[in-house]
Amino acid sequence: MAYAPRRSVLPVGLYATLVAALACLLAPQVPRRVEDLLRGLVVIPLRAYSAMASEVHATARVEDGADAAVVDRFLAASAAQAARPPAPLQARAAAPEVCRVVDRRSARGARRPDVLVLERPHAEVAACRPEVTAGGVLVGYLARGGDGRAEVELLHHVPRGLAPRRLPVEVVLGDGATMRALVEPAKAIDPWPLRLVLPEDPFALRRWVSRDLPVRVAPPPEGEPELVSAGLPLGTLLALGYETGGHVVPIGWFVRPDADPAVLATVALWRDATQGTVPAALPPRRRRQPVRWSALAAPGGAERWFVSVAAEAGLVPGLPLVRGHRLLGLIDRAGTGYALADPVGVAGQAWQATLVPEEPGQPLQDAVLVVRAASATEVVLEVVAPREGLVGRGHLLTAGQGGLVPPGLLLGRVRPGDGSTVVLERTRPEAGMAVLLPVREGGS
Amino acid sequence: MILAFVVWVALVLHLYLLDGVLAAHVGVLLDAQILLGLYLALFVRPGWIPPLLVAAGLCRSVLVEGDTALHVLVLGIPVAALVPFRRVFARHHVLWNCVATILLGVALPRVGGLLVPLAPGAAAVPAPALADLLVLAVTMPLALAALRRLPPFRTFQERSE
Repeated sequence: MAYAPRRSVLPVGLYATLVAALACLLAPQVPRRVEDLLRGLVVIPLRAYSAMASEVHATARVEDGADAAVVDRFLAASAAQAARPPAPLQARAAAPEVCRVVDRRSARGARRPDVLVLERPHAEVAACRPEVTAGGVLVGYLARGGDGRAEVELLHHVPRGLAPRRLPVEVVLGDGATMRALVEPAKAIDPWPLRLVLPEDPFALRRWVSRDLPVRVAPPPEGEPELVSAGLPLGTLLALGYETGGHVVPIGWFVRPDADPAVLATVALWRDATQGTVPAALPPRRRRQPVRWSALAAPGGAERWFVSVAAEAGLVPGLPLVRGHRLLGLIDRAGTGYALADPVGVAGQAWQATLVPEEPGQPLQDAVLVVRAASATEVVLEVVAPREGLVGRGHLLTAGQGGLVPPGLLLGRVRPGDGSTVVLERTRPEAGMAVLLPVREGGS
Repeated sequence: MILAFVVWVALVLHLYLLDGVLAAHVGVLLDAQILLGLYLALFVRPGWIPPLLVAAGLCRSVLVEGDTALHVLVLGIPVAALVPFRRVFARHHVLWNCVATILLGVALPRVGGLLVPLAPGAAAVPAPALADLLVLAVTMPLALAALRRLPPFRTFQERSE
C-alpha cells in the first residue's frame, strides 16, 4: 500500500520547538545542565562499548625507555639552552631559574603575543632580577605583582594606561664602534616588534644600512640605576626604506629580536648570587587518571574517541590523553564521567612544539605547526614559525602549548616533508591510555 | 510508546555512527541527517516531530561539535519548511522522495553555515558534492523505505488515508 498522509499539516509544535531551540542557542547556560543529564543517558551504549573495547591499567603508567630518553634529552637541552649565561649576567654571578612557557597572550588587537605566562608561581620568582633571557638574549621583563603564575612582559609590551617603555641600547656598527639609541615598541602594523629611535648620529647610521647590526643594552646614563644588565644582546637592526639608485634610503629603523617570542618554549630568570637558591625541580602538578576508550567515526568520517573514566574525574575540554610520554589526543567535549576526544592530527590543530634532532649535539628547534592533512599512519604539519622551517629529522614534543597541555609530551617522530611541511609518524592508541588531570595547588 | 522512543533514540545514535563508519571506509552512501530529515518531514505524526527532533539533535551533539539546540535548528528548519508540503513529497511517485532528498542535501549545510556563527566551537558541515548528492538521492529513499519498516520508526509514523 502506498503511503499517503491524511492531510497537509502546519506543525505549530515544531515551530515552537525551533523558537525554543533558538532561545537556548542564544542563552546556552540555561539548558546546559538538563542537556548534560540527557546526553549522559544517550551515551550509555558508548560507555558499554568502551568498557568492552579497552582495559584500564591500574597505574596508567606505561614506561617506554626510548621515549623517556627523548623527553629527558629535551628537558636537559631546553634548560641548558635557556640558561646559557650571557656575559653581563655571568659577571654578576647570577644564577638562572629556568621556567617553561605555558601560555602567551596578546593585547587586544595585537597580532603578536606580548606576554608570556610561565609555569612557576609569581611568588617563587618574585625576587629574581627584572631581565628575562632565552638563549642568552634579552626577551623581556619579569612582571611585578600578581598572585598567579609569573609573567614575562616582552620588550614590545605596552603596559595598559602607561607610556611605552624605552630601553637605552647601543648599536655595534660595522667598524666596531658603538652608537647609542633608544628602543621602543613598534606599532602593530610595523613589520618588526621593536623600533629604534633617537640614534646618536642618524647620518652615520645610514652608512651601515646594508648590514645587519647587532643591538645590545646600553649602560644607563650616569647617576641613574641600572635596571637591566648592560651588554645583553636583544636583536638585529634592520632598516626600512626606499631603494633609490642601487642603495636604500632608510625611513625607519627596526629591531628584529634574536629570540622569536612566538616560538619560545623556555626562558631563564636570573637570581643574584646574594639571594640564595630555590629548589630547581617543581612538584608535579598533574596526575594520570586511567581511562577506557573506544574509537568511533563521527558523521563525516572523522575519527574520534569515546573516553570514559570510572570516577567523577573533572574532565574538561583541552585535557591531554597520553600513553607513557606520548600525547595521543585532546578532549574536545566532556560530560560527567565521559568525554569525546580528537586524536593528534585533526586538520587545523595547531601545536607549539620543539624538535629534538636525532643527531646528537644539534640544538633544539622551537616551532609553531598546523595540521594540514592526515592519513592513518602520518600527519602532515605546516611549519608556521619560524619562517625558515625545521631542519632534519627528530622527535617533536609539546612546548608552551598553553591551556592544559604541559610541555615535554612526545607528539612523535618527524621527517622533512614538501616545502615548509614536516611529516609526523602517527602514534596509534593502545591499552594504557590516561588523561592528565591538573592537580589543584595544595591538593594531592 | 516510551519504550519505542528509547529504542528510537538508541537507533538514531547508531545511525549517526554508521554514517561515520561508511563515510570513513566506503564513501558517501548514507547521510543520517538527510535520512532523519526525510523521515521527520514526510512520515512522522506531527505531534511526535518535536520530541524526535530534539532526540536526534541530542544524539548528534554527542558526536559532533555544537549544542543540542544548534543541531535541532539545523535539522528542524528544513524539516519545518518541508512538513506543510508532505502531501506532495510523500504521496506520489518515489521520485518526489528523491527531490526531497536533494532539497535537504542542499538546505542542511546552508542552514548549518548560517547558524554556526551563533554557536562558538561548532564547525560548519561542508555541502556534499553534486555526484554525492545524486547518489544520496537514490540511496536515501531506499534506506528510508527499509528503516520505516523497523518497529520504532513504524510506531511514530502517520497513518495513511
